[in-house]
Amino acid sequence: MNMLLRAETMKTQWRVVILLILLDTLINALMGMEQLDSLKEFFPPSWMSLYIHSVNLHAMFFYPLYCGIIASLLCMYEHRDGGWKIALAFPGPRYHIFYAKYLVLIGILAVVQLVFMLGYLAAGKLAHAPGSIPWGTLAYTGFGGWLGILPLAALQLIVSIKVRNFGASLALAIGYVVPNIVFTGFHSTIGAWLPFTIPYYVMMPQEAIYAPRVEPYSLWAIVFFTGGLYLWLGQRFFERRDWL
Amino acid sequence: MTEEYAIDTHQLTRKFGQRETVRRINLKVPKREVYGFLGPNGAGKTTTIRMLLGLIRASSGNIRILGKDLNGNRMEILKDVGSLVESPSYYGHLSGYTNLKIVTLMHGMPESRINEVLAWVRLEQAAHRPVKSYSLGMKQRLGIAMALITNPKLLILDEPTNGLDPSGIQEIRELIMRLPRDFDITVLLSSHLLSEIEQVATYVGIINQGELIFQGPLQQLTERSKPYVWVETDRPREAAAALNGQGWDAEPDEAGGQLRTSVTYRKESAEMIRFLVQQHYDVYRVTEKKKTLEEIFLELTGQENSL
Repeated sequence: MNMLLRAETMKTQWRVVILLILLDTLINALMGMEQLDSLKEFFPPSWMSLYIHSVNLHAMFFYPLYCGIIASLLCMYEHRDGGWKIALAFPGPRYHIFYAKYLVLIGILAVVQLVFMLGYLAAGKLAHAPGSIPWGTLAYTGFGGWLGILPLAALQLIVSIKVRNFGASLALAIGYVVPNIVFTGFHSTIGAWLPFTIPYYVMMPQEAIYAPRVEPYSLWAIVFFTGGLYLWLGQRFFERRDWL
Repeated sequence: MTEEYAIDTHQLTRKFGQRETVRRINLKVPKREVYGFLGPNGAGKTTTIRMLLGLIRASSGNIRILGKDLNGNRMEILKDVGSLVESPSYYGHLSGYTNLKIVTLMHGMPESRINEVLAWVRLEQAAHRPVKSYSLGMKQRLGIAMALITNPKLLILDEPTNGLDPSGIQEIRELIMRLPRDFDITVLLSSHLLSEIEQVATYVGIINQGELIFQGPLQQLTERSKPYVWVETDRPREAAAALNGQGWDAEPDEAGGQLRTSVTYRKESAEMIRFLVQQHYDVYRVTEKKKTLEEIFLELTGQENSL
């Protein structure tokens, strides 16, 4: 497994990944800073309101979208020139290959989350946000947002393995992230069944006036249930697939 | 017990929907031989090979590779099998060296082997360039290097000389012929070109429309290329009938204005021609023709009619 992970990280196109991460961080930090200033009539400036401004687009749009993009990116070079045949010659349990990809995917998604938080902190320092840093919220939403994306990551990986075309799987990811504006309006017991809504439910602090209606126990139950289910489905799908 | 075959399939069948792409094949590949797996495009070669590698599942039948049942021993078997299926597989954004490194990592092989294998396929110069900048021939050679680097006991090559130039083909051929001798490797080599196989293989299996229609030493195939004497004459049908009446084997070929006989012994053919002349048949030309392997192949696969 260790070896597979090393092979996997050797194949990853880090330049694209780093560019994506920087893009997410910059856009959302700048947007947070801008709104902290332009919306100060409605939201009194503070570290918390800066966080709410920054996390809004990140949790609703960027994070689930990145999950899709990076999953497709990790499979793109396998589809292109028969890479799957190299990977499948691995003399070990076949589902290990699936999990190696999954671990790299969620590893990158953890970095996305971390760098986003650093960007937020830098933006707050630059904007001289008043008050104290809401460390508790940061820890819960940062780690929780990552946990919340795990089911989507499993599902996205299955889609990316199945859909050979990078463009098609990208379009698919955009296609379900956009309606997130509507879906996250539902109560979390309904909306969270759609895996791309979960990061928003977790990451948007309940202090925000437009915070989604969240019931944490059912939300986490759904996360663990669907996460386990998708992983199991993915493993099964990967093992039984005909590699033509 | 030592197994005599590197690959041994029993009634191997694969269906796609209702269609049987591979039908009850009993492939026997003897150890330390180069086995030429021959068949026209779409005959089921690649499907068979994919089943041997466990890339797709068989609908029925079973596969033994290197003495082990593929079902349940896939991992152990894959350790000893190198393969190049259809077009070469590679990661285009990485260098040839990194591609090989990924394979060594996954197989737990030492990295030191990479340079050795690169030398075999003469890719040392290009080792650190991205593979997408390689020519087709270089990609193919890299594919073979990737198949060889794991030190396999069985090498499965599907159309390995596709897209190579003549000197490249020659190089690959020499490399393949060396393998059983120098490295104790059994090679299964598929191709739709007989000329490809006949120069390197010692054993041949011919597959057509999903069925294995011939299997045996190459020699056995060449024995079929018996010579015939062709006689060009004005009335081939009558002439052939007259010869048959005399107890000679003869077959008319009306369209070609000739007849064919398996009588090739000099004395006998002289006598036969004398007979024809005496019976007032015009004999324009007498030639001996040996069937090429190509013709035998076409005959076996029934492709001659479709050409």
